[in-house]
Amino acid sequence: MNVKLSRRELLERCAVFGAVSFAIPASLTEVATAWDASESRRLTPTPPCELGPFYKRLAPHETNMRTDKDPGMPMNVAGNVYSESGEILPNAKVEVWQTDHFGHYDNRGYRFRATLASSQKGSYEFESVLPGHYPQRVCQHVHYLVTAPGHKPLTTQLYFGSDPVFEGDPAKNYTRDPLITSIELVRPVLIKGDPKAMITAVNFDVVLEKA
Amino acid sequence: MMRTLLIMLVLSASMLAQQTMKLPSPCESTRQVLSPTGNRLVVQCKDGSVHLLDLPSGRELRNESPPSRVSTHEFSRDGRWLGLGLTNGTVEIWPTSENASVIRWKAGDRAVELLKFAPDKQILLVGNVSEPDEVWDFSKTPTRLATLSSDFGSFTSAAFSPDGKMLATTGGDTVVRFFETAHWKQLRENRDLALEPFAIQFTNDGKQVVIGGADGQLTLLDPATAKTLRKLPEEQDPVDQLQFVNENRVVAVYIDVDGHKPPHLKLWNLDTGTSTPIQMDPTVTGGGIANGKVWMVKASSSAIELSSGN
Repeated sequence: MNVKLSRRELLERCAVFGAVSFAIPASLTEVATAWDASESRRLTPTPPCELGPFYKRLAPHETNMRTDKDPGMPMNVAGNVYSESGEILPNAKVEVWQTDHFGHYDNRGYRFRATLASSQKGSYEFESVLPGHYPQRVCQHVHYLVTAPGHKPLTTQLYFGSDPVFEGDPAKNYTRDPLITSIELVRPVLIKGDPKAMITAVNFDVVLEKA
Repeated sequence: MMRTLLIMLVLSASMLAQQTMKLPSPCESTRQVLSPTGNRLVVQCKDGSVHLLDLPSGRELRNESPPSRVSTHEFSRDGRWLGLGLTNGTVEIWPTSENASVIRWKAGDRAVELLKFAPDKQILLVGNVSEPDEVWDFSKTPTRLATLSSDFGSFTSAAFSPDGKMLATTGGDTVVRFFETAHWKQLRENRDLALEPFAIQFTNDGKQVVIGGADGQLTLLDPATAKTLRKLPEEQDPVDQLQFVNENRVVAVYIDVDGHKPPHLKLWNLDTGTSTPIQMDPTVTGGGIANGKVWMVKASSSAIELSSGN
């Protein structure tokens, strides 16, 4: 007979048979509620996207990739790194690389390449410019390689809802770039700041899968 | 990804003694690859169909429309097999002789980006985008023999040693790895490269491997130690493909970093470390190297023309 037990009933049964014990001063109901809440925090891992091109090891630990002289729309990208169970992951290594405003990768040096570490709160942030288009790729993008102990390395790409390729409707048109594996990777772009010094802001949270 | 954007370099042989060959085109063709034996030409068409032609007769041996787009293809060294990798993760093995059945299996969920046949065996290395590469035995029902790991991503290129006892790979993680092919264990690795390598080839004697990649240089490694032996002078553009013409000369295909200009070719002499450019018509859609000569293919909707480029 297959009986579906509620979380509370299951805990009660486990406690009776000694399968669980509590070192915390809490009732079964409280523990069951907390367990349910923890389950509801489960996150879907960020969809992967192919690595290349032009990953380069040993990019500088630099959160500001933009100089005052760089042409292009200034961009701030921020986000958090989570495990799929919803925990923040401090000290995750976040490597990012992109083209400049004109769609050129710097393979000789490390322009628009950076190695970041998520903070104790799991957050990361960098300053750059909106990457340019180039003939081999349909959409503007930033490459990500995110690694953290106990988790599978994630290679993915961040895309921008403001990309002209999407004609204002990324949900409908994101497949115009065959490399975009999920609409989740296309992020809204917020334009803020003084009209004479506008900056785009993008949020991109990353969820890593357990190894 | 990059491999799909580039012209193909293929080895052909004695069947191509003549300097030019013209065939009727079976379709509006986008890409053409010649078998290493020089007697087969595979033609990819705009409508998604793939045609295998006999050379020099031009007779069609097989014509199929795979269930999804072809993302990569590779002939076995002996020319007996043509491997097709599809965007839906399927691998198709076409016998290049007539009347034999196609072998087909799903190797993964993502596009197949790399295929490499082991010499003289029905063993194939398969790389799906961003997945660990796998070794398959297709002598009977296709069976996975091994999964070859890297730090992240998948291999960008691979080459078997001439005796088939070693497999050398380059990865998106920038690492060059050497595996033995009896049990598929990694023997050694080289982590000297900062940028992605895209191409690897063993020299004919198997004593060195040549690597080309995003750093625009040819790098020679010793497979016995995985140590870097030397680097040839650097070019501005990344190397995407390498093919040996003979013992000491190798053709390198260079691509523009961002795809703003068409690929170009250079012939490198590994003994002297010098190179000469190979002239290439920008309308070339396929090509190859045969008996010390570079062959190029141009296709129109009605004809396919093969000609030696040097």
